[in-house]
Amino acid sequence: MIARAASRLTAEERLAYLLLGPALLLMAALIFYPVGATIVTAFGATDKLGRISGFVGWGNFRALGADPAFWQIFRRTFLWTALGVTVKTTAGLGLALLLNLPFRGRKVARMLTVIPWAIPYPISAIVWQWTYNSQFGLLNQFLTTTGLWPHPPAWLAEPRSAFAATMAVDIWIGLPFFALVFLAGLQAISPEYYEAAAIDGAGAGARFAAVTLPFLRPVIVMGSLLSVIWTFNDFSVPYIVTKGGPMNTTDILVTHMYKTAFQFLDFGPASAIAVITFVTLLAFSVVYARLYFREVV
Amino acid sequence: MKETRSGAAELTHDFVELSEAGAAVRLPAASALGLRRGHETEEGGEGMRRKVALAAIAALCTGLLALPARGGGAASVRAVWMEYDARYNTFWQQLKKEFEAANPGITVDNVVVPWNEGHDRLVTWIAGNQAPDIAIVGTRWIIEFNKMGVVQPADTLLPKAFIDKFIQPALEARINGRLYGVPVALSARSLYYRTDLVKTPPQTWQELLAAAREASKSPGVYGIGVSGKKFAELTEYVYYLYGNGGDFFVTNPDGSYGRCRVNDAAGVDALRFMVDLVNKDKVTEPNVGENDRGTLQDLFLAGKLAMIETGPWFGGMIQERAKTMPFAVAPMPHNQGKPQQTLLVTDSIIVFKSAKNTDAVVKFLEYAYRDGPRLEFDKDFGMLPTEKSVARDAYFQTAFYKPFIQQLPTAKPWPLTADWSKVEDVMWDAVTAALLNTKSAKAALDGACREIDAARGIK
Amino acid sequence: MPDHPAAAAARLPALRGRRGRSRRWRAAILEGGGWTLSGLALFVLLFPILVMLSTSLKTLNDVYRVPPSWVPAPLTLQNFADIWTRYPLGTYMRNSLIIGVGATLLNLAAAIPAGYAVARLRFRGRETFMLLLLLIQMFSPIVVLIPLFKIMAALHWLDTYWALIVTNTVFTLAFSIWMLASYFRAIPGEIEEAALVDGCTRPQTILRIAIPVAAPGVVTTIIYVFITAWNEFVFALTFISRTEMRTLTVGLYTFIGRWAVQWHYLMAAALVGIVPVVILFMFVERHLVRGLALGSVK
Repeated sequence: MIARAASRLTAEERLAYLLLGPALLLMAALIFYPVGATIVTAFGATDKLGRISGFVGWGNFRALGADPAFWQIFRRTFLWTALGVTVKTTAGLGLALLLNLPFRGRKVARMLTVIPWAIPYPISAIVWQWTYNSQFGLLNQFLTTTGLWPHPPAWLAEPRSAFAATMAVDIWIGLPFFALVFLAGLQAISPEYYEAAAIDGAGAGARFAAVTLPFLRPVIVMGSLLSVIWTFNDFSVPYIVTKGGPMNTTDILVTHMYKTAFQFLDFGPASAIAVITFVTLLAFSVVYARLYFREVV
Repeated sequence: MKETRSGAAELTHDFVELSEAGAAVRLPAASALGLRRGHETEEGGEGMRRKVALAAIAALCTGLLALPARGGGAASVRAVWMEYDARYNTFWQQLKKEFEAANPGITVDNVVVPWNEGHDRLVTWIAGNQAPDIAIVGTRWIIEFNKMGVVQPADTLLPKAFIDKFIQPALEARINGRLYGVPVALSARSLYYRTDLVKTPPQTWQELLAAAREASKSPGVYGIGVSGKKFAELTEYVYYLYGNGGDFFVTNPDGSYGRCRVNDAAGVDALRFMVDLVNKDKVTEPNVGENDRGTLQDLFLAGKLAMIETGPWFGGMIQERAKTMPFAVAPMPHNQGKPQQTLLVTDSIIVFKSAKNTDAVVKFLEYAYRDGPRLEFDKDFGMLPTEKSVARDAYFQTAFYKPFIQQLPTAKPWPLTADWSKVEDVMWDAVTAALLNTKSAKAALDGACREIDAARGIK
Repeated sequence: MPDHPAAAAARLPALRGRRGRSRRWRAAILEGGGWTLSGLALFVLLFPILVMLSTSLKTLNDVYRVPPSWVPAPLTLQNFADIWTRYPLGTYMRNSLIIGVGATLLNLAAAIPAGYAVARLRFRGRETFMLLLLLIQMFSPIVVLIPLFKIMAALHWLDTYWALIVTNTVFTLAFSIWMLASYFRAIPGEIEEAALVDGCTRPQTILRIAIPVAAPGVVTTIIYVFITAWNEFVFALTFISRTEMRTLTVGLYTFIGRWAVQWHYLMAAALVGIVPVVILFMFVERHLVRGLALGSVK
């Protein structure tokens, strides 16, 4: 009996590894080497071509740590991520619930929801940049003529409004994804559960709390974790909408890294930033997983 | 087993044809995944898995093998051109066709990159060992690429007669006697003004301010444009800096750049004047922080600006989009008591060390630099002539081009230093801080100089 | 893992719900509210699209009018014609389509088996694998750009479809494996057991039961991978230099010049670029519907 159990486990494992094969192969080929190369470069001094000329140990990291601007950018990236993910997940959930209600034209509404996501990020960024302009853009024109906001700010001209405006673009682009993922999640909830709850006399709110949320929890947890990672690393939006300005007040870690690498040709420090990003996200994920991941992994 | 909804099966049932370079790879998605409609029977598990693996490997291999090697025939020239404006320009395609017809055996491989992405793409290609043979570059990038060790100086390949064709100001890429790149585009910056709103072209800053004040009185018009949004160039500050006799660095006796000097009297006064135009005199468009030079040009074309400082290409844009607008061009204004001096910018073509067929490259360059194509290039892209012979053409003797050409002998380019990217970044922050009034002009520039000197390792 | 309906229901507070007429009222308010809120949300979401629509129907001079107007004067459809004739938009779209479809298929081919394995099979290294997927996501594509570029050059895949198909597949693998795994996991084991007992092989259970029941997950994956590949910019810009091989996103970016942006063409082309995505979405949307309840499989 033990022998049978042992052999069954192995067969199952064999099957598992076979099924994982293609995915692993792709990832090994295209990610492990580049990531490895980046980590190595982070500890090196590089020439302008990115070739390593020597090793400086923690030198690149120390230099970053000593730069107060770096910490500002670091903090800002946290703010950017926290706000962005919170709005995206809550608004996305709300939108998904809306799109789940039975009303005519729901199919059209769902289709329309996907559209912001269907536009390439750089193009969305440029269109928004144009729309935000106080002279040429239609946003302020709309706000003033409808009276919704008689004296709107020049969004990209000032640091604080520039940050909010850039964040709005990121949220705008990311919202359809969440709505869609949550919508798919809602579909997986069998109506039997709702029926059972309704029979017991639960109102809409209680049904949401007792059926919807528990079922969606894995999706929300994983979705928000992925969102944290993606938002943290969002490059196109801040880079194109404001190029990090005014006065670098919308610069986040990944745009700073890009500038360091491609504008200043400092590949060593840029790789160090990449490693810092990775370690930060890893630390966050570990904590997050410990708290929420029981049922997902 | 009862048949279940085969919606997913329907989706992936169709054959997908992927064709690269003539080789057709049929990826029978349906059979690879083992999906069949309805009632057909499945094969056994083992066979299925093997089929999937084989199909994947086959597809991968076919893709790999079906591709032609890069490079080309006997001799090829791989050129990277930057797109100056977004009009689908056929200049390089035309040139390629004509050159190939006249030189059978040499093929030209044109790669066109949007200007804004050009620098970063070249860096990637160079770092990835895929540098082209020649490329248009902003001349100041040459220093950087030289540090990377990938530039082959132009004067090692091209005969003296070729180089002697160029006018002096165009040879910005001549460093310590060595010419690294061949000038391809040249611009000097001037003041465009509305002749109906500005009666006499201002020559000094004081006249400029008066003219701006006067023009602002017209409804819906702003006197002059100032941009506050970070852009590829440090305009307009540099116009005021140079117009006040200032400069970015102290020049050492050996010609190298010393410490930063924008925070001296000349630099500070220049920034102060520009900031006052925005905040004190209020003769510029509002919310300068959201506008870069592109938006300023659009504002001028929309009739909202009376004056703007920009380059020769703008004339073409006015012809195209505001034909009836009454305008004229004047040399860049300078501070009273200081000499007139404007900014000069060149782009160059550089040859990379990795270029294999230098003979083909030289042939192509000599073909491209005949007067005919050069004149056409200048016309197409709104540039100034770089060759003495082209400068004599009637096209450039008009009232429009006069102010540009007359400023060339005294015009000054950006500092040619490898750290320029960082310097420009720091300078932009200082300028924006002053424009937004978070720092005084002096404080902003002091801070900038401190940062710049530190970054360049100057005590 | 949510448990049996009865157990779940048993945990609910015993509320006295209202019945009959008030229930109908509440339903009506809910539907009306749903409409209004959806409408508002959609308006905010679609505001830039309306801007794009308005701009694409204007001439370039009209685009730069200050103050701007929603209504084009004159209204012109010329832009939609020009983008096809003056620029190789058709080529760009064809390339993006090939890459999008290719990446989607390749991704499914790798993710469906992997997701099933993660969800259903026990094996050593399962947690490690999931963690690995997550870790990969933490590196922005910018970071791996140059090393990846070198790999593509070494494989002679520059200026080919393969470079982008494979790259887009790899960078979306984490999401698709997770999505599919979570759906596969939700299928009660008894159903698969029954099928296996009935004589189906493991692959057959995957294809006949798991995938159809997980249809919303499969559909979401398809949409996600396709859109991500369709929109991808940095890799497309770096790996492809020949104009004939350009993707739509890079093509759109060329409307942005050093000195001027051809807004009217850019907006028109961007709108045209949305169409294939919308078509795909309409095609697969019905599978998002909650019709594939577990019950139907029985």
